[in-house]
Amino acid sequence: MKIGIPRALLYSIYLPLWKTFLESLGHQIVMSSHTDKKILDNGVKFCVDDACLPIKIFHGHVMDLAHKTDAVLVPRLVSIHPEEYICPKFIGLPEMIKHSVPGSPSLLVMDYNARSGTEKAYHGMKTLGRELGASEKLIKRALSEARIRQAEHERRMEREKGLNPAHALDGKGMEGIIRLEQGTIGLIGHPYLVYDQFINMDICNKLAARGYGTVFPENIPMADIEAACKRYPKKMFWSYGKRLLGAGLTMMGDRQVDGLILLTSFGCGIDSFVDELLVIANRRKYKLPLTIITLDEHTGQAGFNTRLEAFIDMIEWRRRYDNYIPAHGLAVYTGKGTFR
Amino acid sequence: MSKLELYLGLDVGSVSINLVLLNKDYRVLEKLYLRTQGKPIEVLKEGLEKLYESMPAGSNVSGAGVTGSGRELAAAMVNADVVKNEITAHGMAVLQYIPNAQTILEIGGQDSKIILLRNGVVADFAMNTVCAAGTGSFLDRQAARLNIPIQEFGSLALKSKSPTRIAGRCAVFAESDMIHKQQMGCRREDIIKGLCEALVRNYLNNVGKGKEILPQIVFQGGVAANEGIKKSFEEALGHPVIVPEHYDVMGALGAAILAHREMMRGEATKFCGFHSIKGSFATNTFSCSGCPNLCEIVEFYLDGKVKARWGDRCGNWSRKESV
Repeated sequence: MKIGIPRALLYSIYLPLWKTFLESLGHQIVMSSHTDKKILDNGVKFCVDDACLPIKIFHGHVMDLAHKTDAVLVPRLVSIHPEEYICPKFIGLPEMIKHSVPGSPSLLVMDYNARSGTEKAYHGMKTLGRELGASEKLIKRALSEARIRQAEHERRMEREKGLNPAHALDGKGMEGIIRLEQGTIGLIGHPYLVYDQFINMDICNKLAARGYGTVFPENIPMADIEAACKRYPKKMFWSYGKRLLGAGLTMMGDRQVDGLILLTSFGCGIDSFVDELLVIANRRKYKLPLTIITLDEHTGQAGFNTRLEAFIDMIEWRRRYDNYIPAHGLAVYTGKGTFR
Repeated sequence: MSKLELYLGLDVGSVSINLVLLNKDYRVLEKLYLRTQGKPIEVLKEGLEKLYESMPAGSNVSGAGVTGSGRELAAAMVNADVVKNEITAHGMAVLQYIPNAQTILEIGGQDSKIILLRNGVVADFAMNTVCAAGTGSFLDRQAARLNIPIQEFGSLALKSKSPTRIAGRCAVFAESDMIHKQQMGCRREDIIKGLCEALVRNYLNNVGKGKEILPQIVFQGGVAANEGIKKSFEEALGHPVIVPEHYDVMGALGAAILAHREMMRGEATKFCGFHSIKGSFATNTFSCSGCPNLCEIVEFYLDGKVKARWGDRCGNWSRKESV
């Protein structure tokens, strides 16, 4: 069977798991195109209007695959880490697609729920395997192969600082560029913003053109993230909230970056407090250049470019000042970041 | 060669186009504040012609800087030496004219921003996110609806004795709330003052969220002409708010200063001169079909020849040799 996988939401993180599993069961995988204007337009047109931009774009990707494939895979991610949840929109995603996308393409729903333990997370995949008519033996082998590939992918993201997982999956094999001649910017945001070149207005290349490399949340080891989040009295039970917060704090604390850009899509509930916690921590302690850029359906780039340009100007302005030691008080910006 | 060196600054914004001429000592020789009226090219051309007439004998432009949301367009028209974003330009201008300023509140036609200056550099800034509520274009609209000239909007607010409360989160909510209050029989000045307070509340909670607002506080941009808003800022912040002499053209001033600094490196200006502005400018927009992004490409013509192109994501059009 020809199965389509939408190049949207968390595909850049979980593709090796999904793709290897389905391929090992003997199916052919077709990826949707990289996000473009048509996908965006379709998503906005058919999705419920109060959903966030990444969810709308997922709809567009499903439509892109509808006529090219026999079925489209719609993962239902309930929880990706024991005793934590992710955004509830992921839980309702298959239903949203079913009721919104015209022409009702046939969908393969695959649950993933690690809430009560990592091993139990794979039940949903086994169920899908059975629905696809595979033998227990084949399912077991496919799953074990898929988990090996997934672990390799995750290890690689942590090991190769600055590696963009979406690029890695495209086989560009590009080594991470974390430090260009001017420095490094920490890009904090959900994978579907940070690794989607269309939604984020090509921010990585724009930064590179000004001489800045980028480092991403997925490049920060989980142990560092957990340790950084321990300072808060309560547990972060949103997995991505924890990742973004912990990654941001680690980057600031280790002075790995010259500045932080928080990318958020309009209306994101998790970001609304994670970004705030990062802003407060930065104001109280780290005092690095930091800005929040909100992304939505705009295709005009002027507003985005203005904010990005002004942010880089600010970093460079502050850095020039940093070389001069005032006779009174402390410099605003203490020390350029170095990557360990 | 004892020619008087002048520096041109242009700020092409959504509501106004501002032009300034500075001398080497950053003294303003001429400034123009023109309404964009949806036709930036014509208005800019008109403004440049006026500016040319006002130039002292024996002077010439030794550098040109542009800023504002229409900066690409303006840069293509005049061959600017510096093309800069509004934050840097505004910060530059304030540091020059009010060196002890620590906070800039800037409200323009469609943007509002806060810029924090510490020890002579921009230390932090924020801009409105996706919504333009509470900016100049909204005030313009409300003034038109109430049939009050925008120039009198602020002074009318000062007459209010008991301002009414207006919802400020969103321009649509604010407008419907204003209409409700008007139908309830509230006095016009109380409604307008209420609107000023709502806009200030919204600005401080949204753009100014979590920012340390320290004096001196400078208020600029077109909306700074509105005394009602200035008063509401002072009431909310508990500090006097300074509106600089050239509050309405600070972006253009910053652009001119940046141009001067750029020219100090010793290169000759690229500015095309006032005579070539007399040519006929035109634009053409088309949708590129090279990839599914279908970017809207703008072609900019001078006397029938393509001078520049922009709007493409890939850069293939903007890089292309102009004729």
